[in-house]
Amino acid sequence: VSVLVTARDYTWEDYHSTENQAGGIHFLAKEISEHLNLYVQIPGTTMAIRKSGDVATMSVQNGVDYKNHESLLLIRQDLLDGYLKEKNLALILFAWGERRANYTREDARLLEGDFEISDAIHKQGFLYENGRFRRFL
Amino acid sequence: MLAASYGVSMAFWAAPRAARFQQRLLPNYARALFALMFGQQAQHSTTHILARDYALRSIELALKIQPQLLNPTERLLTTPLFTIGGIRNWDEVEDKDDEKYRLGDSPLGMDFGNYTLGRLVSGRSAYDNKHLDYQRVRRQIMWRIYDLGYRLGTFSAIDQEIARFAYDRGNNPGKTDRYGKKYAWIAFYELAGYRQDLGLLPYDEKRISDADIDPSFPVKPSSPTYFTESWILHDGSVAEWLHSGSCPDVENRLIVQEFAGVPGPWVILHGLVDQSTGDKTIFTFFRAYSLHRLMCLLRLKFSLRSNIPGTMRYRNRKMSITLTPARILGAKLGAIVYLQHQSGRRATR
Repeated sequence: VSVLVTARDYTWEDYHSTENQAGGIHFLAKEISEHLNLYVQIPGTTMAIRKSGDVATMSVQNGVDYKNHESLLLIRQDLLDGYLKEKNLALILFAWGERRANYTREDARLLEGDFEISDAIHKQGFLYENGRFRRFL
Repeated sequence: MLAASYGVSMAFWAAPRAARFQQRLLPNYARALFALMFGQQAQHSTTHILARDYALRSIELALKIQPQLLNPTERLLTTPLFTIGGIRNWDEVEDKDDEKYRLGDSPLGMDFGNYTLGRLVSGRSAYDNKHLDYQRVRRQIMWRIYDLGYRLGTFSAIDQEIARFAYDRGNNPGKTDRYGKKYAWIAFYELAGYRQDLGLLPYDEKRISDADIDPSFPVKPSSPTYFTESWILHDGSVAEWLHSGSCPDVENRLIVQEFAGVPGPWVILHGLVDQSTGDKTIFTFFRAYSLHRLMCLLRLKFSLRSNIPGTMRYRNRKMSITLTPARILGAKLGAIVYLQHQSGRRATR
Protein backbone atom coordinates (compact mmCIF):
# COMPACT_ATOMS: atom_id res chain seq x y z
CA VAL A 1 0.00 0.00 0.00
CA SER A 2 1.46 3.33 -0.99
CA VAL A 3 1.25 5.95 1.69
CA LEU A 4 2.33 9.57 1.44
CA VAL A 5 4.03 11.22 4.37
CA THR A 6 2.26 14.57 4.36
CA ALA A 7 5.08 16.71 5.76
CA ARG A 8 8.84 16.96 5.79
CA ASP A 9 11.08 18.16 8.59
CA TYR A 10 13.38 21.05 7.76
CA THR A 11 16.60 20.12 9.52
CA TRP A 12 19.20 22.53 8.18
CA GLU A 13 22.10 22.54 10.64
CA ASP A 14 22.55 25.89 12.34
CA TYR A 15 26.32 25.77 12.71
CA HIS A 16 26.85 26.57 9.04
CA SER A 17 25.69 30.16 9.29
CA THR A 18 24.31 32.66 11.73
CA GLU A 19 21.63 33.26 9.10
CA ASN A 20 20.39 29.65 9.05
CA GLN A 21 18.83 29.14 12.47
CA ALA A 22 15.39 27.86 11.49
CA GLY A 23 15.98 24.12 11.81
CA GLY A 24 13.18 22.13 13.41
CA ILE A 25 10.27 23.52 11.43
CA HIS A 26 8.06 21.53 9.09
CA PHE A 27 6.84 21.95 5.55
CA LEU A 28 4.04 20.40 3.58
CA ALA A 29 5.21 17.53 1.35
CA LYS A 30 6.28 18.60 -2.10
CA GLU A 31 3.70 16.32 -3.74
CA ILE A 32 0.82 18.08 -1.98
CA SER A 33 2.37 21.55 -2.32
CA GLU A 34 2.73 21.25 -6.08
CA HIS A 35 -0.75 19.83 -6.50
CA LEU A 36 -2.20 22.76 -4.57
CA ASN A 37 0.00 25.24 -6.44
CA LEU A 38 1.68 26.56 -3.30
CA TYR A 39 4.89 28.45 -2.67
CA VAL A 40 6.87 29.33 0.45
CA GLN A 41 6.60 32.96 1.50
CA ILE A 42 10.36 33.41 1.91
CA PRO A 43 11.86 34.40 4.29
CA GLY A 44 8.78 33.33 6.23
CA THR A 45 7.82 29.68 6.51
CA THR A 46 4.14 29.89 5.71
CA MET A 47 3.02 28.56 2.37
CA ALA A 48 0.57 30.43 0.19
CA ILE A 49 -1.38 29.89 -3.00
CA ARG A 50 0.27 31.21 -6.15
CA LYS A 51 -1.43 34.20 -7.74
CA SER A 52 -3.66 35.00 -4.76
CA GLY A 53 -1.07 34.81 -1.99
CA ASP A 54 -3.70 33.39 0.37
CA VAL A 55 -2.11 31.58 3.31
CA ALA A 56 -2.35 27.79 2.98
CA THR A 57 -0.15 26.42 5.77
CA MET A 58 1.08 27.82 9.06
CA SER A 59 3.89 26.92 11.42
CA VAL A 60 3.32 26.79 15.15
CA GLN A 61 6.60 27.46 16.93
CA ASN A 62 7.02 28.47 20.55
CA GLY A 63 8.77 27.57 23.77
CA VAL A 64 12.10 25.95 24.53
CA ASP A 65 13.14 22.58 23.09
CA TYR A 66 12.60 19.62 25.40
CA LYS A 67 10.69 21.74 27.94
CA ASN A 68 7.44 23.45 27.10
CA HIS A 69 7.69 23.54 23.35
CA GLU A 70 5.39 23.32 20.32
CA SER A 71 6.43 22.74 16.73
CA LEU A 72 3.46 22.01 14.49
CA LEU A 73 2.40 22.27 10.86
CA LEU A 74 -1.19 23.33 10.13
CA ILE A 75 -2.96 23.19 6.79
CA ARG A 76 -6.12 25.00 5.79
CA GLN A 77 -8.92 22.48 5.93
CA ASP A 78 -10.56 23.36 2.60
CA LEU A 79 -7.25 22.80 0.80
CA LEU A 80 -6.70 19.48 2.56
CA ASP A 81 -10.22 18.38 1.71
CA GLY A 82 -9.77 19.35 -1.92
CA TYR A 83 -6.48 17.48 -2.22
CA LEU A 84 -7.85 14.31 -0.62
CA LYS A 85 -10.97 14.39 -2.79
CA GLU A 86 -9.14 14.99 -6.06
CA LYS A 87 -6.64 12.25 -5.30
CA ASN A 88 -9.24 9.90 -3.81
CA LEU A 89 -7.23 9.66 -0.62
CA ALA A 90 -8.00 9.21 3.05
CA LEU A 91 -5.96 10.63 5.91
CA ILE A 92 -4.87 8.99 9.13
CA LEU A 93 -3.21 10.88 11.97
CA PHE A 94 -1.25 9.35 14.80
CA ALA A 95 -0.50 11.16 18.05
CA TRP A 96 1.90 9.30 20.27
CA GLY A 97 4.69 9.82 22.73
CA GLU A 98 5.71 9.17 26.32
CA ARG A 99 5.03 10.24 29.90
CA ARG A 100 8.37 10.79 31.62
CA ALA A 101 10.06 12.66 34.43
CA ASN A 102 11.14 16.22 33.82
CA TYR A 103 14.72 15.75 32.68
CA THR A 104 15.75 19.22 33.68
CA ARG A 105 15.90 17.70 37.19
CA GLU A 106 18.99 15.80 38.22
CA ASP A 107 16.91 13.18 40.03
CA ALA A 108 14.70 12.46 37.02
CA ARG A 109 15.79 8.85 36.57
CA LEU A 110 15.45 8.20 40.28
CA LEU A 111 11.92 9.59 40.27
CA GLU A 112 10.91 7.36 37.38
CA GLY A 113 11.99 4.14 39.10
CA ASP A 114 11.91 0.87 37.19
CA PHE A 115 9.52 0.63 34.26
CA GLU A 116 9.07 -0.85 30.83
CA ILE A 117 8.98 1.63 27.97
CA SER A 118 5.55 0.29 27.03
CA ASP A 119 4.29 1.51 30.43
CA ALA A 120 5.13 5.11 29.53
CA ILE A 121 3.87 5.20 25.96
CA HIS A 122 0.62 6.85 24.99
CA LYS A 123 -0.82 6.55 21.51
CA GLN A 124 -3.90 7.63 19.64
CA GLY A 125 -4.94 7.19 16.02
CA PHE A 126 -7.53 9.19 14.10
CA LEU A 127 -9.19 8.73 10.75
CA TYR A 128 -10.08 11.95 8.96
CA GLU A 129 -13.46 11.63 7.28
CA ASN A 130 -16.11 14.11 6.22
CA GLY A 131 -14.27 17.05 7.68
CA ARG A 132 -13.62 15.62 11.15
CA PHE A 133 -11.30 13.25 12.95
CA ARG A 134 -12.69 10.01 14.35
CA ARG A 135 -10.55 8.15 16.86
CA PHE A 136 -9.89 4.50 16.05
CA LEU A 137 -6.97 3.85 18.40
CA MET B 1 26.49 35.59 -6.17
CA LEU B 2 24.80 32.48 -7.58
CA ALA B 3 23.56 31.57 -4.10
CA ALA B 4 22.25 35.06 -3.46
CA SER B 5 20.54 35.14 -6.84
CA TYR B 6 18.96 31.77 -6.16
CA GLY B 7 17.72 33.12 -2.83
CA VAL B 8 16.15 36.10 -4.58
CA SER B 9 14.65 33.78 -7.21
CA MET B 10 13.08 31.61 -4.50
CA ALA B 11 11.65 34.68 -2.81
CA PHE B 12 10.00 36.16 -5.89
CA TRP B 13 9.29 33.43 -8.45
CA ALA B 14 5.72 33.01 -7.18
CA ALA B 15 5.11 36.05 -5.03
CA PRO B 16 2.15 38.29 -5.90
CA ARG B 17 3.06 41.73 -7.22
CA ALA B 18 6.34 40.53 -8.72
CA ALA B 19 5.19 40.30 -12.33
CA ARG B 20 8.23 42.05 -13.81
CA PHE B 21 10.58 39.72 -11.98
CA GLN B 22 8.60 36.66 -13.07
CA GLN B 23 8.03 37.64 -16.67
CA ARG B 24 11.33 39.32 -17.50
CA LEU B 25 14.12 39.26 -14.93
CA LEU B 26 14.07 35.61 -13.91
CA PRO B 27 13.62 34.19 -17.43
CA ASN B 28 16.38 36.44 -18.78
CA TYR B 29 18.65 35.48 -15.90
CA ALA B 30 17.93 31.80 -16.46
CA ARG B 31 18.68 32.06 -20.19
CA ALA B 32 21.97 33.75 -19.39
CA LEU B 33 22.84 31.11 -16.82
CA PHE B 34 22.16 28.39 -19.33
CA ALA B 35 24.35 30.00 -21.97
CA LEU B 36 27.21 30.71 -19.59
CA MET B 37 27.18 27.50 -17.55
CA PHE B 38 25.39 24.67 -19.36
CA GLY B 39 25.44 25.31 -23.11
CA GLN B 40 27.73 23.36 -25.40
CA GLN B 41 30.12 26.32 -25.60
CA ALA B 42 29.58 27.57 -22.04
CA GLN B 43 32.54 29.64 -20.89
CA HIS B 44 31.86 29.22 -17.18
CA SER B 45 30.75 25.62 -16.86
CA THR B 46 31.84 24.04 -13.62
CA THR B 47 31.63 20.87 -11.61
CA HIS B 48 31.41 22.97 -8.42
CA ILE B 49 28.47 21.15 -6.93
CA LEU B 50 26.99 24.14 -5.13
CA ALA B 51 27.46 26.71 -7.89
CA ARG B 52 25.97 24.28 -10.39
CA ASP B 53 23.04 23.51 -8.10
CA TYR B 54 22.23 27.16 -7.40
CA ALA B 55 22.22 27.83 -11.14
CA LEU B 56 20.17 24.73 -11.97
CA ARG B 57 17.57 25.47 -9.31
CA SER B 58 17.24 29.05 -10.55
CA ILE B 59 16.64 27.74 -14.05
CA GLU B 60 14.14 25.25 -12.65
CA LEU B 61 12.13 28.09 -11.10
CA ALA B 62 12.16 30.03 -14.36
CA LEU B 63 10.89 26.94 -16.17
CA LYS B 64 7.93 26.77 -13.80
CA ILE B 65 6.91 30.18 -15.12
CA GLN B 66 7.94 29.71 -18.75
CA PRO B 67 8.12 26.00 -19.58
CA GLN B 68 9.22 26.82 -23.13
CA LEU B 69 12.23 28.79 -21.98
CA LEU B 70 14.54 25.94 -22.98
CA ASN B 71 14.04 23.57 -25.87
CA PRO B 72 14.28 19.79 -25.30
CA THR B 73 17.97 19.67 -26.24
CA GLU B 74 18.77 22.53 -23.87
CA ARG B 75 16.79 20.86 -21.11
CA LEU B 76 18.90 17.75 -21.55
CA LEU B 77 22.00 19.85 -21.03
CA THR B 78 20.66 20.99 -17.68
CA THR B 79 19.80 17.47 -16.55
CA PRO B 80 22.21 15.62 -14.26
CA LEU B 81 24.34 13.59 -14.56
CA PHE B 82 26.65 15.84 -16.53
CA THR B 83 29.28 14.64 -18.94
CA ILE B 84 30.66 17.99 -20.04
CA GLY B 85 31.69 21.19 -18.36
CA GLY B 86 34.22 22.11 -15.71
CA ILE B 87 37.36 20.18 -14.93
CA ARG B 88 37.17 16.70 -16.37
CA ASN B 89 40.83 15.80 -16.06
CA TRP B 90 41.88 15.84 -12.43
CA ASP B 91 45.59 15.64 -11.89
CA GLU B 92 47.12 14.36 -8.65
CA VAL B 93 49.87 15.91 -6.53
CA GLU B 94 51.26 14.95 -3.14
CA ASP B 95 51.14 17.52 -0.37
CA LYS B 96 54.33 19.53 -0.87
CA ASP B 97 54.43 20.80 2.70
CA ASP B 98 53.45 17.73 4.65
CA GLU B 99 56.15 18.19 7.28
CA LYS B 100 56.10 22.00 7.37
CA TYR B 101 52.69 22.89 8.80
CA ARG B 102 52.74 24.70 12.13
CA LEU B 103 50.16 26.26 14.44
CA GLY B 104 47.11 25.38 12.39
CA ASP B 105 48.23 26.69 8.99
CA SER B 106 47.49 23.48 7.09
CA PRO B 107 45.00 24.08 4.23
CA LEU B 108 43.11 20.88 5.00
CA GLY B 109 43.26 20.47 8.76
CA MET B 110 42.61 17.23 10.57
CA ASP B 111 38.78 17.15 10.60
CA PHE B 112 38.42 18.50 7.08
CA GLY B 113 41.02 16.08 5.76
CA ASN B 114 39.53 13.12 7.53
CA TYR B 115 35.77 13.64 7.76
CA THR B 116 34.93 16.11 5.00
CA LEU B 117 37.13 14.58 2.31
CA GLY B 118 36.13 11.17 3.62
CA ARG B 119 32.55 11.88 2.61
CA LEU B 120 33.62 11.82 -1.04
CA VAL B 121 34.59 8.14 -1.02
CA SER B 122 32.83 4.85 -0.35
CA GLY B 123 33.79 2.09 2.01
CA ARG B 124 36.21 4.02 4.19
CA SER B 125 36.37 4.10 7.96
CA ALA B 126 37.28 7.31 9.75
CA TYR B 127 41.04 7.91 9.86
CA ASP B 128 41.72 5.15 7.34
CA ASN B 129 44.49 6.93 5.45
CA LYS B 130 45.38 3.82 3.45
CA HIS B 131 42.09 3.76 1.54
CA LEU B 132 43.21 4.00 -2.09
CA ASP B 133 40.35 6.14 -3.39
CA TYR B 134 40.68 8.45 -0.37
CA GLN B 135 44.39 8.85 -1.08
CA ARG B 136 43.54 9.72 -4.67
CA VAL B 137 40.99 12.32 -3.53
CA ARG B 138 43.55 13.97 -1.25
CA ARG B 139 46.06 14.18 -4.09
CA GLN B 140 43.41 15.63 -6.41
CA ILE B 141 42.44 18.24 -3.82
CA MET B 142 46.08 19.21 -3.34
CA TRP B 143 46.58 19.49 -7.10
CA ARG B 144 43.57 21.76 -7.41
CA ILE B 145 44.46 24.13 -4.57
CA TYR B 146 47.96 24.55 -5.99
CA ASP B 147 46.39 25.06 -9.39
CA LEU B 148 44.19 27.80 -7.91
CA GLY B 149 47.26 29.51 -6.50
CA TYR B 150 47.54 28.35 -2.92
CA ARG B 151 51.08 28.41 -1.47
CA LEU B 152 51.94 27.77 2.16
CA GLY B 153 54.54 30.53 2.13
CA THR B 154 51.91 33.05 1.06
CA PHE B 155 49.27 32.18 3.62
CA SER B 156 51.07 30.58 6.57
CA ALA B 157 51.29 33.70 8.74
CA ILE B 158 47.72 34.90 8.24
CA ASP B 159 46.31 31.37 8.58
CA GLN B 160 48.17 30.88 11.85
CA GLU B 161 46.67 34.11 13.09
CA ILE B 162 43.17 33.08 12.04
CA ALA B 163 43.66 29.65 13.61
CA ARG B 164 44.44 31.28 16.95
CA PHE B 165 40.96 32.79 17.00
CA ALA B 166 39.18 29.73 15.68
CA TYR B 167 36.62 28.00 17.82
CA ASP B 168 34.59 24.97 17.13
CA ARG B 169 32.11 26.01 14.47
CA GLY B 170 29.27 24.45 16.46
CA ASN B 171 29.74 27.24 18.97
CA ASN B 172 30.56 29.92 16.49
CA PRO B 173 28.79 29.64 13.13
CA GLY B 174 30.18 33.01 12.08
CA LYS B 175 33.81 32.07 12.47
CA THR B 176 36.45 32.97 9.87
CA ASP B 177 37.90 30.17 7.77
CA ARG B 178 41.60 30.05 7.02
CA TYR B 179 42.65 31.10 3.51
CA GLY B 180 44.05 27.65 2.84
CA LYS B 181 40.79 26.08 3.85
CA LYS B 182 38.88 28.34 1.49
CA TYR B 183 41.00 26.98 -1.35
CA ALA B 184 40.30 23.49 -0.07
CA TRP B 185 36.53 24.08 0.04
CA ILE B 186 36.53 25.22 -3.60
CA ALA B 187 38.49 22.14 -4.62
CA PHE B 188 36.23 19.94 -2.51
CA TYR B 189 33.01 21.20 -4.12
CA GLU B 190 34.47 20.95 -7.61
CA LEU B 191 35.63 17.41 -7.01
CA ALA B 192 32.30 16.51 -5.39
CA GLY B 193 30.44 17.56 -8.55
CA TYR B 194 32.82 15.63 -10.74
CA ARG B 195 32.50 12.51 -8.61
CA GLN B 196 28.71 12.94 -8.56
CA ASP B 197 28.71 12.88 -12.36
CA LEU B 198 30.73 9.67 -12.28
CA GLY B 199 28.47 8.09 -9.67
CA LEU B 200 31.34 7.95 -7.19
CA LEU B 201 29.73 9.69 -4.24
CA PRO B 202 28.90 7.22 -1.48
CA TYR B 203 25.31 8.43 -1.14
CA ASP B 204 22.42 8.97 -3.47
CA GLU B 205 21.14 12.31 -2.25
CA LYS B 206 20.38 15.05 -4.73
CA ARG B 207 22.04 17.61 -2.49
CA ILE B 208 25.38 17.08 -0.81
CA SER B 209 25.29 17.18 2.99
CA ASP B 210 28.00 19.89 2.92
CA ALA B 211 25.57 22.31 1.26
CA ASP B 212 26.59 24.85 3.91
CA ILE B 213 23.91 27.54 3.68
CA ASP B 214 20.28 27.67 2.70
CA PRO B 215 20.17 30.86 0.61
CA SER B 216 16.47 31.34 1.30
CA PHE B 217 17.52 32.16 4.89
CA PRO B 218 14.19 31.21 6.46
CA VAL B 219 13.26 33.01 9.65
CA LYS B 220 12.01 30.80 12.44
CA PRO B 221 8.45 31.83 13.25
CA SER B 222 7.19 32.58 16.70
CA SER B 223 3.55 31.93 17.47
CA PRO B 224 1.11 31.69 20.36
CA THR B 225 0.61 28.47 22.29
CA TYR B 226 -1.58 25.99 20.43
CA PHE B 227 -2.40 23.49 23.17
CA THR B 228 -3.27 25.85 25.98
CA GLU B 229 -4.60 23.18 28.35
CA SER B 230 -2.14 21.14 30.39
CA TRP B 231 -1.68 17.46 29.54
CA ILE B 232 -0.25 16.75 32.98
CA LEU B 233 -3.24 16.57 35.29
CA HIS B 234 -1.78 14.10 37.75
CA ASP B 235 -1.08 14.75 41.40
CA GLY B 236 0.76 11.49 42.15
CA SER B 237 4.42 10.63 41.98
CA VAL B 238 6.41 10.52 38.75
CA ALA B 239 6.47 6.71 38.88
CA GLU B 240 2.68 6.64 39.19
CA TRP B 241 2.43 9.15 36.36
CA LEU B 242 4.48 6.91 34.08
CA HIS B 243 2.15 3.99 34.70
CA SER B 244 -1.05 6.03 34.69
CA GLY B 245 -2.03 5.35 31.07
CA SER B 246 -2.86 9.04 30.73
CA CYS B 247 -3.26 10.29 27.16
CA PRO B 248 -3.05 13.94 26.15
CA ASP B 249 -6.39 15.43 25.22
CA VAL B 250 -5.65 16.36 21.61
CA GLU B 251 -8.86 15.44 19.82
CA ASN B 252 -10.59 18.76 20.39
CA ARG B 253 -7.62 20.66 18.93
CA LEU B 254 -6.89 18.63 15.81
CA ILE B 255 -9.02 21.13 13.91
CA VAL B 256 -9.32 24.76 14.99
CA GLN B 257 -11.39 27.52 13.46
CA GLU B 258 -8.59 30.08 13.59
CA PHE B 259 -5.04 30.39 14.85
CA ALA B 260 -3.02 33.49 15.69
CA GLY B 261 -5.81 35.59 14.28
CA VAL B 262 -5.72 33.87 10.89
CA PRO B 263 -9.07 32.31 9.97
CA GLY B 264 -9.05 28.65 8.92
CA PRO B 265 -10.29 26.15 9.79
CA TRP B 266 -6.80 24.68 10.31
CA VAL B 267 -5.87 21.00 10.59
CA ILE B 268 -2.80 19.57 12.35
CA LEU B 269 -0.66 17.50 10.00
CA HIS B 270 2.67 17.11 11.71
CA GLY B 271 4.81 18.11 14.64
CA LEU B 272 5.93 17.64 18.20
CA VAL B 273 4.67 19.08 21.47
CA ASP B 274 6.45 18.88 24.85
CA GLN B 275 4.82 19.86 28.09
CA SER B 276 6.64 19.92 31.43
CA THR B 277 5.72 20.68 35.02
CA GLY B 278 8.02 20.65 38.04
CA ASP B 279 8.78 16.94 37.98
CA LYS B 280 6.84 15.50 35.03
CA THR B 281 6.94 15.80 31.28
CA ILE B 282 5.01 14.46 28.34
CA PHE B 283 5.79 14.66 24.66
CA THR B 284 3.60 13.89 21.66
CA PHE B 285 4.44 13.41 18.01
CA PHE B 286 1.82 14.13 15.35
CA ARG B 287 2.17 12.36 12.02
CA ALA B 288 -0.43 12.34 9.24
CA TYR B 289 -0.34 9.95 6.32
CA SER B 290 -2.55 9.93 3.27
CA LEU B 291 -3.49 6.68 1.61
CA HIS B 292 -6.07 5.42 -0.83
CA ARG B 293 -9.66 5.80 0.31
CA LEU B 294 -10.20 2.10 -0.21
CA MET B 295 -8.27 1.55 3.01
CA CYS B 296 -10.75 3.78 4.75
CA LEU B 297 -13.82 2.15 3.20
CA LEU B 298 -12.70 -1.26 4.40
CA ARG B 299 -12.77 0.11 7.94
CA LEU B 300 -9.28 -1.01 8.77
CA LYS B 301 -8.44 -0.92 12.39
CA PHE B 302 -4.85 -0.02 12.97
CA SER B 303 -2.75 -0.12 16.02
CA LEU B 304 0.70 1.22 16.13
CA ARG B 305 3.38 -1.30 17.00
CA SER B 306 6.41 0.64 17.96
CA ASN B 307 8.38 0.43 21.18
CA ILE B 308 10.11 3.69 20.48
CA PRO B 309 7.58 6.33 19.47
CA GLY B 310 8.68 8.48 16.64
CA THR B 311 11.11 5.94 15.33
CA MET B 312 10.71 4.65 11.84
CA ARG B 313 12.96 2.43 9.88
CA TYR B 314 14.77 3.75 6.87
CA ARG B 315 16.00 1.18 4.45
CA ASN B 316 16.93 1.68 0.84
CA ARG B 317 15.42 5.15 1.01
CA LYS B 318 12.03 3.68 1.82
CA MET B 319 10.47 4.40 5.14
CA SER B 320 8.33 1.77 6.72
CA ILE B 321 6.11 1.71 9.74
CA THR B 322 4.38 -1.36 11.01
CA LEU B 323 0.66 -1.15 11.61
CA THR B 324 -0.95 -4.21 13.07
CA PRO B 325 -3.36 -5.86 13.50
CA ALA B 326 -5.80 -5.03 10.77
CA ARG B 327 -9.35 -6.27 10.72
CA ILE B 328 -10.88 -6.43 7.28
CA LEU B 329 -14.50 -7.54 7.03
CA GLY B 330 -14.14 -9.51 10.21
CA ALA B 331 -10.95 -11.33 9.24
CA LYS B 332 -7.87 -10.58 11.29
CA LEU B 333 -4.56 -10.21 9.61
CA GLY B 334 -1.32 -8.50 10.19
CA ALA B 335 -0.89 -5.55 7.92
CA ILE B 336 2.41 -4.02 7.07
CA VAL B 337 2.09 -0.72 5.42
CA TYR B 338 5.11 0.58 3.65
CA LEU B 339 5.30 4.28 3.64
CA GLN B 340 7.25 5.26 0.62
CA HIS B 341 9.15 8.43 0.38
CA GLN B 342 7.84 9.66 -2.92
CA SER B 343 10.55 12.17 -3.57
CA GLY B 344 13.24 11.82 -0.92
CA ARG B 345 13.84 15.55 -1.08
CA ARG B 346 13.79 18.07 1.68
CA ALA B 347 10.64 20.02 1.62
CA THR B 348 11.82 23.50 0.86
CA ARG B 349 14.00 22.87 -2.05
